[in-house]
Amino acid sequence: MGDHLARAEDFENKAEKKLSSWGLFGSKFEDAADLFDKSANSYKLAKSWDKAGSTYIKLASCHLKLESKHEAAQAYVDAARCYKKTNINESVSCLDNAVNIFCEIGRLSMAARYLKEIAELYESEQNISQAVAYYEKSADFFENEEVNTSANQCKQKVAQFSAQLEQYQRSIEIYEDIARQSLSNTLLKYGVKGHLLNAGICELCKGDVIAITNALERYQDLDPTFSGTREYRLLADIAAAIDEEDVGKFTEVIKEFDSLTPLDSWKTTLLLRVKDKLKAKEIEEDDLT
Amino acid sequence: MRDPNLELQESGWEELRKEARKIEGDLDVKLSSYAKLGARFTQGGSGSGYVDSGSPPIGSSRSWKSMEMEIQSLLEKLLDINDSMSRCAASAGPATSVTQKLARHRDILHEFTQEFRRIKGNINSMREHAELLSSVRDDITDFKTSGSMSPRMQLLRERAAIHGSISHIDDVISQAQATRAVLGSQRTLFTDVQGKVKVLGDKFPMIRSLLGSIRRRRSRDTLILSAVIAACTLFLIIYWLSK
Repeated sequence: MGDHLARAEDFENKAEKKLSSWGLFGSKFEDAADLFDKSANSYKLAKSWDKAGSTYIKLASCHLKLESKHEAAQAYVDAARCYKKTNINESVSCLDNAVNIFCEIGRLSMAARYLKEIAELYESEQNISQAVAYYEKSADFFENEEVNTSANQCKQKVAQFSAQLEQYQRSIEIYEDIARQSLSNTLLKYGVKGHLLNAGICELCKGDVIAITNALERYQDLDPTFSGTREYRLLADIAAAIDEEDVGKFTEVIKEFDSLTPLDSWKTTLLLRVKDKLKAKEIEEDDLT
Repeated sequence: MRDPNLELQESGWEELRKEARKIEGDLDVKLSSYAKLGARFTQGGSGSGYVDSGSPPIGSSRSWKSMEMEIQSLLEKLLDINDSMSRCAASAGPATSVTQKLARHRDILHEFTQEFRRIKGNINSMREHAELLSSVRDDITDFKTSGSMSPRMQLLRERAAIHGSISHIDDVISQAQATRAVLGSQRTLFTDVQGKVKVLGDKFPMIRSLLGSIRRRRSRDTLILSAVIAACTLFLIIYWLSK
């Protein structure tokens, strides 16, 4: 490991010297790029992630001067991989640079992949608003390239996080759109009730009983088999409990559903919000009485 | 003059490192008990009966909250110590063992942070789940649940399992579709490459002659430049001699 570190520093010094020298014949940037690449590789072997990242950024600068845009973008991606272990912000900025370069040279599918990677980094850092923004960009690019499956995956992430940020209308539109697309696909249509359940839960969070009723009617028109499912039954019963402002009935309905199909944490969080709102309303009524 | 300074830095480094190791040990113990607390909270939440479900969540919640804040403060302290060690290492000489130890400590801090975040997320979701399903009418609900028909429940449970399988199949299908799209784009790319290579092969003689022309032009430029430099130098020498 010490040998790798010494070799890496040696290569880096040579590269810097090459850059600062006046080259009469041949390109100094090309030679410096080669040396920077070797240096970064040695830094990685020595597990010096910060230095490897900064060296890859210098490599990207050399490639940009040589007008080799694809190599520059690849160097930025390598830098992001190194920084991912130590510095998330640097990693994101490197991937951002790579995405910009891929957009310039027209490689939108690769740009979309790295936008998704940025979104996943923000997700792991629990920065939900930024994750939503980048997932949205990624979905747009995937749609431009007609990769609908990946676009829908990103859109579902956008819907999920938008609901957590209490932007329910946006989530509802996305889930309904995905449900419509899934209906036309014979392989995916059996998952439609899951999407409609998610959309229905977002409607419940808005707290408008008339809107919930209209949404349920719309879902029946969309998918005739939905009215016979337990998901529809759950949504209808919860809507009735909200209309009657009965917390006990609400809890009973959810408990029955949960005993057969355990709710995941996202649904639990949203339904808990509905219950808290209902409880607050009930307490208000008691005070008035 | 430098010896006391170096000794001072070394002692500071060793002291910081000792403290870092102590905090890492504390963090390890506390994370383990935190995870056990989460497991106990789950068992407490699923308990039946009004009295039993009443008191354990509150007690668990209180100790869970204090434990969480304790771990958070320990992580922040460890982060500060790592920063101090980093500054100490930077001011000292470039020693390889110091850099390795520093990287090791940073990795440990990263692992603990990830572990804490994961356990915290789990406990949060468990607590929300328990809170959603708990009610003052648990007795009535239990009574109604016990009164329902057994065969119907079994059928519904089986149907839920089938739905779960369908969800898993959907995930696999979406992965397969994504892979197919990527492979399609790769094939398009290779077709383009093949076309370009064929065109290049057709034009290979032209390229060869082009390269020859470039090489001759470059050598001619070099000769011209050399001649000009030689002429100027000769002129300077003659002028200097004549003056």
